[in-house]
Amino acid sequence: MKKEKVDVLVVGGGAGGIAGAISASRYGVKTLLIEREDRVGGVLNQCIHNGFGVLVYGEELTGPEFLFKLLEESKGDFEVRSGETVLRILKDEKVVITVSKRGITCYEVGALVVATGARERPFSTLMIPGPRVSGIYTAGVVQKMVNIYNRLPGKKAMVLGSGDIGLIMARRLKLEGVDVLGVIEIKDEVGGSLRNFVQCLRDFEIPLLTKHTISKVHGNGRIKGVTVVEVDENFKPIDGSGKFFEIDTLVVSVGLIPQNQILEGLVEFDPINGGPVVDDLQRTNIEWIFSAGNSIAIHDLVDFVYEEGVVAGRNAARLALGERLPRRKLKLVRGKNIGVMVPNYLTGDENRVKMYMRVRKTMEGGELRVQGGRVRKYNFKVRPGQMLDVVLDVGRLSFPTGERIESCEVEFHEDRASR
Amino acid sequence: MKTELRDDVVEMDLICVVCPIGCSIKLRAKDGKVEIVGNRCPKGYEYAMDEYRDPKRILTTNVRVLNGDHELLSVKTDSPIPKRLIWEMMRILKNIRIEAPKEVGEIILENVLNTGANIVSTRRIMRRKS
Repeated sequence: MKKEKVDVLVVGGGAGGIAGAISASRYGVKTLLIEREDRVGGVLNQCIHNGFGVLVYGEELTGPEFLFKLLEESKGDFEVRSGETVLRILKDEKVVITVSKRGITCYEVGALVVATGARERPFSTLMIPGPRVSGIYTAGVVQKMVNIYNRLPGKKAMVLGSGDIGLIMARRLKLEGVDVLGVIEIKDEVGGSLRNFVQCLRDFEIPLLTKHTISKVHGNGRIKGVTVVEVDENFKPIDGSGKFFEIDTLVVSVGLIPQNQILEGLVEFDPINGGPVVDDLQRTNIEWIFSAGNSIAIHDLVDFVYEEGVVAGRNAARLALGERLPRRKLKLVRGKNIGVMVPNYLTGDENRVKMYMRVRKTMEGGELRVQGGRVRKYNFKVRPGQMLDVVLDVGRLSFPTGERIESCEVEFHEDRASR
Repeated sequence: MKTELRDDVVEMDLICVVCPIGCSIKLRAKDGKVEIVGNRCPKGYEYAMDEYRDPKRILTTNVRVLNGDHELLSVKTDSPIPKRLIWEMMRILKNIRIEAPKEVGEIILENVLNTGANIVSTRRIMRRKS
């Protein structure tokens, strides 16, 4: 077993990890990024559509172009090792053990940044009756087949789930000559952005079946079709509404799950985000472990993932340099209408803290309040499918003195008069 | 969505995609006179006018690569092209073969279909080691 010392070890070579490594290496600390796959970039490699980087680079890029810019920015100030994955993290020793073709390595680290991204929610979690046939793929798998490996999954497809990935794959398959019969959405409105709804479905005349789901899968060996039913407001199928669609491919896009097994049992988790609890330094409850991006909560924009990666990398570097980072002072508690929310704690380290959150239901408008004070007013519809990002002016909040951690509420106050 | 009622009347129900607000815009054109309602800003007006006159989109797709380390090269139009040309553009791009290597931003096809837009590479593709 090899032993090695690094100041900042970054796990995960997607947008968050690369941003983290760039940001850490700017402090002159020895930074190493490890990536499980044989090339860095993560999902950016297969996201050939555009819309990436508007906030970070001020222009609309495709996924591979965003990755290219990111790597240009780094100019090789840190080492990248691909084909390497984490086996274990030893909390008290500040040691990370990894494995690759080169063997097992034991890294003594100053700080760790975990940016391991997300996985797709599998079809089996939906408990839909029918045989377990082939021809059912998650959207990301189809995206990799079509955009990287040059393989089409079938000729006649439906998409289950109208999140951004589902919409984008519906268009992608249609452009490749696949007959896309429709996108099925259990809720009463599109899950992804309106822009994707217009440019992926409307432009290509692909029907969106809201308030519908699949009640049964048919086939023997390969999928032959699905029964699509209408649902009531409790998402229960309405009797007699079933309709058979003959397809050879079902593309499932029913959400992402933060991927963070390497931190399980090690750090405190937020059950709603599905990832580690972090403070405004992107630090978990273990002072030398930082985390960013989709491994802490599912984000809509790579730009947000990038921003978190930058914060995580910067603070990991500060710690590795021996700086004493401030402790948690104020706990941000979810109030009315708040679902996913990052971060969970404030330290007072920065005066302006970027927060990311989702509302729990669609509302016509309202305002976001922290400690009862307005942070931002929304004069338009807010939807759970769209992550809100706000800059919190920390200087205006009242912080506790002394050792105790106090809490303050974050709420979205619904404005019923608007519309 | 466009409904042509009579030869001289066009009605469109649009969702503006300029920003996340997503205004519902109604457009009605009669005898060359265009009426737009529902937009909250001038950009929304412009968006609706473009959708009426000649909607344009950036097209992103892949082309086949010869002797590359991957089979496909991701490409895009470097400016928006008329929506009505998308299928013709796809046909052209399906039938071309590109020799590796290619750099990000390299022009693959110039002024394609006389749109003024070029097809550019969005990925770096290396030559296959044989």
